[in-house]
Amino acid sequence: MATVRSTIELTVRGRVLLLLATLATTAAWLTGDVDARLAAGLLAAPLFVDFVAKPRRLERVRVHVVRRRTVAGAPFVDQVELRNEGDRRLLELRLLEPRTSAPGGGALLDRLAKGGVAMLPLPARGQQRGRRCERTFVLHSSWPFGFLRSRAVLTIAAELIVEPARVPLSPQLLRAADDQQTGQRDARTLPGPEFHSLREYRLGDDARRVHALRSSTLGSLVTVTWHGNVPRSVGLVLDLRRPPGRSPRRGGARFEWSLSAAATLLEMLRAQDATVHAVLLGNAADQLTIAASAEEQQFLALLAAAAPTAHQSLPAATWAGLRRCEQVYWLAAGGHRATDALALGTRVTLVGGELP
Amino acid sequence: MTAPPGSNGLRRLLTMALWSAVAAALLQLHGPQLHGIWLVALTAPAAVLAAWSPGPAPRWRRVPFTAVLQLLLVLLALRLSGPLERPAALAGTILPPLGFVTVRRRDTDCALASFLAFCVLLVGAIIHGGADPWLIGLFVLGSALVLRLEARLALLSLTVPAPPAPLRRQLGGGLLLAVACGLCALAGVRALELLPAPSRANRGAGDAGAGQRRIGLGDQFALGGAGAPLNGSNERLLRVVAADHRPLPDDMYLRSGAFDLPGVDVWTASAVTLQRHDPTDGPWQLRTPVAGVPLRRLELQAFGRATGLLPLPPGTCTLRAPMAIVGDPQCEYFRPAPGNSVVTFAVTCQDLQLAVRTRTPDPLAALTALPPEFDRALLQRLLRQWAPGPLPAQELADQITRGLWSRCSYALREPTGPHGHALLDFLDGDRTGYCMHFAAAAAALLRLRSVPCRIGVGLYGGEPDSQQPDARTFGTQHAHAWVEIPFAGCGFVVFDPTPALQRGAALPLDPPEPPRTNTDASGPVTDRSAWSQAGSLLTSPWPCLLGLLATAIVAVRPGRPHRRRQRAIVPELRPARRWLLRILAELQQRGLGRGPGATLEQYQQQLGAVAADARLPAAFAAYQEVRFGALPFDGDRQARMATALAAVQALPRLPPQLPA
Repeated sequence: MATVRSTIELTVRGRVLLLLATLATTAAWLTGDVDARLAAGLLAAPLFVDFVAKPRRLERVRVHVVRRRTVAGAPFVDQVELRNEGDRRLLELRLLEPRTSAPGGGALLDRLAKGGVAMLPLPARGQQRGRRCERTFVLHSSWPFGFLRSRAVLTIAAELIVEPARVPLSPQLLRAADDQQTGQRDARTLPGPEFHSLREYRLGDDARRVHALRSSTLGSLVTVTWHGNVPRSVGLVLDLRRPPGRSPRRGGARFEWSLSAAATLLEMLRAQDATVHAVLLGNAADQLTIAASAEEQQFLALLAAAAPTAHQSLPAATWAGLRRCEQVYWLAAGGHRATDALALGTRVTLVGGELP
Repeated sequence: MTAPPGSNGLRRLLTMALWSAVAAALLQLHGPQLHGIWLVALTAPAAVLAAWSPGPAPRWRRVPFTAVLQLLLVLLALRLSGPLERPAALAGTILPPLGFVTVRRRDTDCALASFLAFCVLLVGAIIHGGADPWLIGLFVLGSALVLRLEARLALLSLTVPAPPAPLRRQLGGGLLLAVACGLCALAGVRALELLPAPSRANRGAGDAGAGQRRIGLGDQFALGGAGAPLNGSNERLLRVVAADHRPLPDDMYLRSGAFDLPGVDVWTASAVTLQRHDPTDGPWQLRTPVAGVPLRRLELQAFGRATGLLPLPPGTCTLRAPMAIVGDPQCEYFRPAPGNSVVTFAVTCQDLQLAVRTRTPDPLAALTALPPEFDRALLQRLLRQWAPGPLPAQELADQITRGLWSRCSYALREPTGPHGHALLDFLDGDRTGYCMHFAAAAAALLRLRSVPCRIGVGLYGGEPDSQQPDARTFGTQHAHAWVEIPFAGCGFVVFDPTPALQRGAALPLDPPEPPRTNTDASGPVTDRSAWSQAGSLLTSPWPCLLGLLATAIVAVRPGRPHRRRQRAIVPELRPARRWLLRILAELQQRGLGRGPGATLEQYQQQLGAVAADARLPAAFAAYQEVRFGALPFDGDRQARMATALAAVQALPRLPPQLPA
């Protein structure tokens, strides 16, 4: 259920005009002078017309928007449906979402008839990582003169997932896996994956792997399969735990960077068809085996909602799945020293730091 | 400010609106105090400075050029028009910034220019003793359009992409708003009269401050004189009630005195032969009514100092008062008998202004005399210019009125000039003055052509009474002076040379009406009364205030939510929606109906095992792509919908409940 707050407020120029009109009216009252009355009338008239003609009850506008998944810092355009359930038409509506719209930005709708519906493209940008089940839009109108502003804050149920921003990672990170490759080595000198084969598109496949030329030739979607000298089974540990005694206010930048690195790393590994065994070490150890796009989305959603947790010891059974991985990437997002990584008994690469 | 695409038309319209508002303000300021050359000298250099587009030359070079231009123009204006007086010079200080921001038009310059134009308009109204309603209308129109278009352009510059700005719709909406602003301003000005102003409360006889508007009603009519009995402002004097319940005209005159012995700056009253009339004698028959002219019955109630004056409308036929009266019916001069004061009295009267159009004035030689010290050469020159050749008295009066209106302007201050006499300075000095100067000048010019006349003083116009619809109230602010011409059998008939707008009531500024015959006089008078009644009713303070309040209440009334449910059906969505509805209907028939308020995603989760078949989610996704992704409903999506529909149709019918 949407919640609303609706107000009518004076703009800066409206305050100035109201002050002048009040002064003129006071002068007209005190002196009874015709010219003072004329001044008061001329000053108050546009303010009065603005007040009377102002679109009101913006809270009766229903806003609907579909769920949105984006990456922090990435621009996107939301198609917002506005339905006027009030009893009068609304003019010059400006819609913005404070969380995602640029300052002074938003979208403008010229008119919304009584009972009418309009789709409004709203340019936005996910500024901050997070996962929210409701979105707050601000709808306001300064029509006609801009001395008063009618404003409504509309909160609706609509999921917004802002994944961590992707960060550039050192190429040595993937080469570290190459160096520790236990499988068959070849004579390739260039790093990175290579083309292996084409196959038909399956629902849930990453659209970025669609081979455009081949798809247009065949008339159906075809995706590329890559084969590289990277491990087929990779562990990804994201440790959200803070060291004992550390203030929750510290380490924010490192935490965000670690989440971004985890998202980037996951994309890189998945682009090479690696199966990622992801573990989020927080209050509990959430484990997820990522072998398809849906699971990847699920993990990224977990990253969007991740928060630092207090330190606690974890049972040894937590590492059982990771021990089967050929390579493990460890991200100490919360700042806790990765001493547990030593217990894995497999190849561990500490991202953003060194092993103790 | 970056111009949003498609806003050039709006900008051109904004420029025109701004220029019209500024022009209206400058025209209001223009007058004998501030000639056109001064307006150019004070606005042009700043405008040139603003219009000087930045080029390769450094900006500081503009300043000396503008300063030199300003100096030259001021010298030229001094030579051609003379120095400015203090109020005009004060108004002139607003003009350079007005010219600058009007030409520059950057960011919020337009709003600032509108405000400065408002200041100029107001100063012009103060200097000239009133504002021209046409100029105010033009200013309101222009400034309202400026405010509207500027708000629109500011909004367009904020939002990207900006929607198209249809010029015709913006212009139409702006004009409607401008008209609304004008009506609200008019209603606001009228409604403000209801404020219980401290300065408008009844005052005693000695409260009148110096420098306020003076009308000589004592023993002499002195231009620039002091000590007259109606000094002061806004003191209620008289209430006139229409006993015949016909609407009272809003251009009503009430004479309390008259002056027939002329001087250069002072007119005095000749001796009168007073007769006494007691209440026991019945109504005092002053004159036989003129046939064919409606007879009005009025009841008058005097307050304060008016209880000793006994003001009567010109054309009074009978007078009835509950106390003794003294007066001279020939001179139409009446006062309560010594020791008495009058509170209520009744009269019958006629409006004879139209009836005397074809008559010849009564040749009273005593009313054509002029003092020898009059500058007859100046007066003769003006007469030759305005009314060459012999003319009937009424037409001559009209020509003199037109001449005075074109030559002199109304201002509530004494005229100044080289002559040292108020009347001559009014005609040949700074040519400004008020009703006393207009009346004295017109009377002198009429007498120069041997038309008998005198100066009448009293009250004019009045205001609709707030408590009684058939009544008008007069106060000291309605004091006025005019000219009276005697006609045999009609008495003294009013001829008013003061501009209509400044006679104390908001009358239209029309030139004198052409002469009418007696035969067509009655019809128009009746029509005008009906319109006058409606107009005065609508523009009286209380209806204006109630109208404003009602408008505000209607605007803020709590309305009901709109009940009609209208779906977002854009043309591209219709086929996709039809397919979706068919799928949903098939699911409904198979006991898999969607719950109330459930979204497609929630419904998909509810369907569980059915949705596990990828065809149904694919169909839902196709619909959502068309609806929210603005993608076309192409063959592929239609195929997905058709496949899903076939899959659903192949399902067995289940009991009417969703699977667990």
